[in-house]
Amino acid sequence: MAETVTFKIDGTEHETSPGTTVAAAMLNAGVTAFRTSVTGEPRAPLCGMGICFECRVKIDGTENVRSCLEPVREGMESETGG
Amino acid sequence: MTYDALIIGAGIVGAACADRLTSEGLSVCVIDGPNTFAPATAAGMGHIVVMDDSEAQFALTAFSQKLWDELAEGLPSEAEFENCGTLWIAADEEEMAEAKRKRACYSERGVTAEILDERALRKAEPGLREGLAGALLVPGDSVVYQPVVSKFLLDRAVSRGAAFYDYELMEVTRGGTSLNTFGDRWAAGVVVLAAGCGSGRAVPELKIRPRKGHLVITGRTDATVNHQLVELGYLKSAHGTDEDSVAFNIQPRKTGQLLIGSSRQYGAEDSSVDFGIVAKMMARAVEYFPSAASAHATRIWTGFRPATPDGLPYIGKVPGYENVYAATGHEGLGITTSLGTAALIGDEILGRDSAIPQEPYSPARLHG
Amino acid sequence: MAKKRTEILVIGGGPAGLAAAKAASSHGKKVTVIDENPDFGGQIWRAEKRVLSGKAKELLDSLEKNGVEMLASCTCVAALPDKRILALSNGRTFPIAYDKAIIATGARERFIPFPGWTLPGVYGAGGLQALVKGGFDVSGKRIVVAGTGPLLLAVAAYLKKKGGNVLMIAEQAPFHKILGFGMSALRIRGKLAEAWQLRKEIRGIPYRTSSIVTEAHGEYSLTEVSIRSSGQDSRIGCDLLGVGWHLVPDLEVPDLFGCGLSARGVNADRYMRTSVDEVYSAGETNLVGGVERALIEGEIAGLSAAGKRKLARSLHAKWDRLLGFSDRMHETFLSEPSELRKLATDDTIVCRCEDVPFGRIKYFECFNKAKLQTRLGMGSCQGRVCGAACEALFEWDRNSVRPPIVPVRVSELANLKTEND
Repeated sequence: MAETVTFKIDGTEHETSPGTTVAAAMLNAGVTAFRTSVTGEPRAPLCGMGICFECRVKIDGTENVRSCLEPVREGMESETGG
Repeated sequence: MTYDALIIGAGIVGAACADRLTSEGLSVCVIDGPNTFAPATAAGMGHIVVMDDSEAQFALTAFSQKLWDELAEGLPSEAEFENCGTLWIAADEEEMAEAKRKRACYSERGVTAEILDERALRKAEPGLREGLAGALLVPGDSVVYQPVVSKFLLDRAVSRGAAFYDYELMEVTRGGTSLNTFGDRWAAGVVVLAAGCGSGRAVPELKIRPRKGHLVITGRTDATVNHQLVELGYLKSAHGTDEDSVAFNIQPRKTGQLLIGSSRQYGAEDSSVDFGIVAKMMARAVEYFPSAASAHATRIWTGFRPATPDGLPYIGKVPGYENVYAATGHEGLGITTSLGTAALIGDEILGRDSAIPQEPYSPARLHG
Repeated sequence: MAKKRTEILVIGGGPAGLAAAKAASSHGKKVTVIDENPDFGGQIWRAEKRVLSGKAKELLDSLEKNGVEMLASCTCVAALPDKRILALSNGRTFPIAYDKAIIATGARERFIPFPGWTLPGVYGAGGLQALVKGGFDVSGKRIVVAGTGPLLLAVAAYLKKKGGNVLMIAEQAPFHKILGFGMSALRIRGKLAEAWQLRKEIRGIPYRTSSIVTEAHGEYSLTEVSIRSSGQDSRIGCDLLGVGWHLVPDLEVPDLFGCGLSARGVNADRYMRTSVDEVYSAGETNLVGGVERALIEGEIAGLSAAGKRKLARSLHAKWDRLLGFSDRMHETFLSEPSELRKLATDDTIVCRCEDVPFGRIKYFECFNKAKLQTRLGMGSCQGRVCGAACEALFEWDRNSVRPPIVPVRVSELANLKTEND
């Protein structure tokens, strides 16, 4: 297994170790607003296990992906703000 | 307990009747089952639409639409009333001919309607697929979030002194001025039966069949829809037959969500979601409106429309009963025609002439 | 996607689901296990960097030996007629046909709304642990762990081990109840060693009973929390808050199947049969009661579904002994929700999907009426978070779900082939 995986958050490249979830990798990169709520509040993961849908982001063009359920893959692109 | 009027059913029709009768100064009591949540009102689409399946249907929907426009100004923002108009989409020349016939019919009866050709349609709704023949635009139609309106009307009636109780109806007596509920006997000058699909349980003479429908709501999406979109094939397919049918129908919600319909099924008593029907509905939606494909469906539900054999509601005095009035059997037009129904009921109870003739909707036709 | 057919479909690959799969497959049944997570093991056996060990690995190895089909990242989004489910995996939907289904969807944390709980930096207690296991680096971070339940201690110990600076554990339950619970837990073999180990691990972390977080502060993300401890208010600067109010069963899937439910979970009999023919249910889905109980229920369910009633019956005595533990747990934690009901102010958001505040829903008499009028529970999570919160706040019956229980692309529904053959 490779030592690091390279992926993108909102177009900026980041590195993380294999097995890390997208949510964890984004938190490590300092992301606080994963999505914007219907009244404009920044939101970030709450439950860590796919229940609350607060951590959802766009991954490789697909919207509504729960980042806590998704391991980072090489070359993956995630986008916040959905 | 004695009231001038006892209304059975607190869906939008019952709520509109309560609002109307209290505005006329009558004392009103509304009862509804404790766990019913006015199922057809809650499940419906909230499309305020003028329809021309028959002369009588046109008269009632057009009359009701005017009443909605008057009501709209006072509605809370959560009612999401939006005068977005309906676009009846014509896929081919045959349907375009139908659009033109419809336009003439609406115009002759004083309802504005205009024909959009292929180019004008694309401009009006860029998300629709290419190659459609055109459309009929009925700009006076609107969409609304009806559960909020229903509560608004009921609250207004209560503010004028109406009583509202969660009671299960047991029976309406033939004498009509009294009825039994669990543990209580109620007396009233008149009884207004507005219980949708449940009306037949109270007054078996009313012929009402539940007609199942499915709706799908998406999450907030970037896809822009400017009007309520309905395929004209709807008229050919869904109405008039007893077979299962599916038609393209998209409603833009103020939230940015899309409410996608529609299906019609007789004989399906089970309220579970039929994914075979849903698949056909969604395929139809994507065929007409390709950008709906990437939207996410967040909830799917079903409901039952109270359908009558001739497609017209029962509004007015029920033959064979004293002082029992029906306000039911609106099938898929209960939201639109709730206000017109309430006006007709009010006029009949008070012995006045109505803005439109009442006879076509009278349950007297059951014996005719 | 090829059509899928299996004899026994297990929904949820935590302890109960894996035990069920092992029991059924050991008796020659063709078993398929699906789980929404990318890895099996459930929340309790969630591994760091996805590498499982111990009991979890042992179970998974035996499943592999028995030829059990394992579908990770696969969610049951709807129940279809003729004993089929609609599954969603990597954005694609497909039916899976089964002869018997075992539901083992487990439990999740309960969240109670309080001012500031929507701020980034506020997590569930178990939620924070799950994220750290997923690779979230908390070393040097100032952390408060709060809420109620035995989970808080394990979370605090874990965060400390990972380098987190755990400032305090704020437990709502009063000391005498915790003590009573601790004594009863000690009567169960294994719990004593577990408790002793935990005590060592959390040494140095202040453990405050009768304490709750009343508010989270911060402009864009968490900077401070207000804590009320035995009536005394104070503020603590911190980077992360993990706050959870014990666990509630995950009932979306059994609800889709139409299984009879009670306030505690699925109504299953001693053979783990639900009210629906050929549908079984095991583990915390039935009752939040810990991993030992989940393992036994899973085994009973797997044996029953494989037609081995006698073997299933032989486990009943062991199962009965664990019942008392969960009762005790429910008496101890969140037994006094009244003070929590006072935390939310009118503008505190209850439904995070649709941003519906407390003040808009508090006058309604039930969840469904509030939902229809205010959009409560109408978002993507379909009331998974606000439903349990409203149960605690208003004693409203739980919200019933509508399919699909996870959003599905319209194009997928359009391409759905619902006939299996």
